[in-house]
Amino acid sequence: MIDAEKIRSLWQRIWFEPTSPAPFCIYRIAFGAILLLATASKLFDINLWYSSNGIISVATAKQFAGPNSLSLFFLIEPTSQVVLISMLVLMLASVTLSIGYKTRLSAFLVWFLALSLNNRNQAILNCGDIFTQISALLLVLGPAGAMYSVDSWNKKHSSANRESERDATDEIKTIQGDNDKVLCEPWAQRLLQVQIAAVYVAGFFWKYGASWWNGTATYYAMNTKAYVLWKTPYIFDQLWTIQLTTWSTLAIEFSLFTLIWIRELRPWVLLAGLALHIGLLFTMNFAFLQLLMIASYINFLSPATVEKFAGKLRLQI
Amino acid sequence: MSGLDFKTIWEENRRYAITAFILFFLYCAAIDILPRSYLKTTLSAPVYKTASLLGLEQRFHTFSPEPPRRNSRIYAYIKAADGSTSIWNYPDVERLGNLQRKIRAPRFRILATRNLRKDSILWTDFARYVARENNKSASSPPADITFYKHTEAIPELNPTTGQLKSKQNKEEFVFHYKVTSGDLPG
Repeated sequence: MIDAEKIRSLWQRIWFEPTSPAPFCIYRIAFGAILLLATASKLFDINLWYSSNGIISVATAKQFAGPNSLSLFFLIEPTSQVVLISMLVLMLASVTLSIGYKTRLSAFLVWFLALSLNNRNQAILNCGDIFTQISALLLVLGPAGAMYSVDSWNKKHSSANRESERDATDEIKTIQGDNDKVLCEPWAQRLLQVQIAAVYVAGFFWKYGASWWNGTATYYAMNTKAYVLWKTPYIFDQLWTIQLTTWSTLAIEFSLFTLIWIRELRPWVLLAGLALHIGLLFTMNFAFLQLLMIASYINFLSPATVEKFAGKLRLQI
Repeated sequence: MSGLDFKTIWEENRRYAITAFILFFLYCAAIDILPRSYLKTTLSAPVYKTASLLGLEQRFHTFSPEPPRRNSRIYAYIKAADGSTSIWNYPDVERLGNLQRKIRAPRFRILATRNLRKDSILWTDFARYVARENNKSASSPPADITFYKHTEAIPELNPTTGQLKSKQNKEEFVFHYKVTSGDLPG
């Protein structure tokens, strides 16, 4: 018999039991830095892809993106100047998000401008762009600035406003215990974990083509000129190594949405995922996706591990 | 209603609101796993608008269902007003230096391989762009553009023996566009 009270209690524990937001906050730093690089990289072809003189007109972009897609550039004409200013604001917001200054506002700007650029030209979107807009939304909603941020530093050092800030803190359900231990409801970080797993669920289940199951997929991938960055010698010339890389890709993707939830196995699964993405980073051309995925693994580390690591870097709460 | 009341109402109900968002998020992520089908369309319908608006649509299908089995290249025959013809090639970003290639090539690739398919709504805009790019002579502007796709098949790998089997390359007509004066600046 289903015990409703047990389910309710489990739900509360998973999504709302206060925990340290350290992994989520360190992820914020890495995410902002990667987004800064990714946005800067778009400057090369800024007019070609985004301005009203570019390849795709605003009218077609709207049709392509669908009627419910949100974009600043559907409201104001994306002249070269407008697109450039938007991109510079996005880069600035990436920096302020990374350092945690006006964190929620910065995350909101990042989400809105990234979404606006993505919807302005959905014909060039990659998985990294989609992951970015989802991550940014969760950073808006979660306690991304609660630790290792200018905001948290200011809060700690403005003793004059201590009481009023405590009110504000209570409002976002951040609990300050002894020794300034910051505890927050982890639901946004949990959703990010679910999102990361969802990337691998899609990656695994959508790979139903024959070449994945007969072990030849990486051979075709490595011979697709548009994807290859560096063709590793030997590995993709031998049948057994091709099959090993193909099947291990599937095995790693499978473990990243199944075994990842088993605490004891998590470090090994993350290491396997790290090996997969580092391999892809050097061999395949997926822009910033690999860096984003590697950074996102921070959300699976224990708060104690992250806090220890941050302590070594002398990052202030 | 005073500000205090609103705050109280929010405090009392925020976990319900967050729970609703969590369920919405999980639902959007779960639907993505389903293959394209009537069931998927039906299940997506109630959340599609909100998911699009928030940017929560899931699209993580690289090399799915399997990696491409061919290398293709788009090119066009451009006929000018005076009857002369020239050939235009899709930007060959694969030949750029390593860093530039890493940064710029993926977007060119995604446009060409995933979105410039035969029935794509993007072709007219793309043809207009090519016309603008090739409008170098005021007396003889581009008048007519025909796009083709050259496809080189990757030799098929036998999964048992490891033998490679060559396949035929092909040339395919993809789109034709008659340039109008409104397509060209000035």
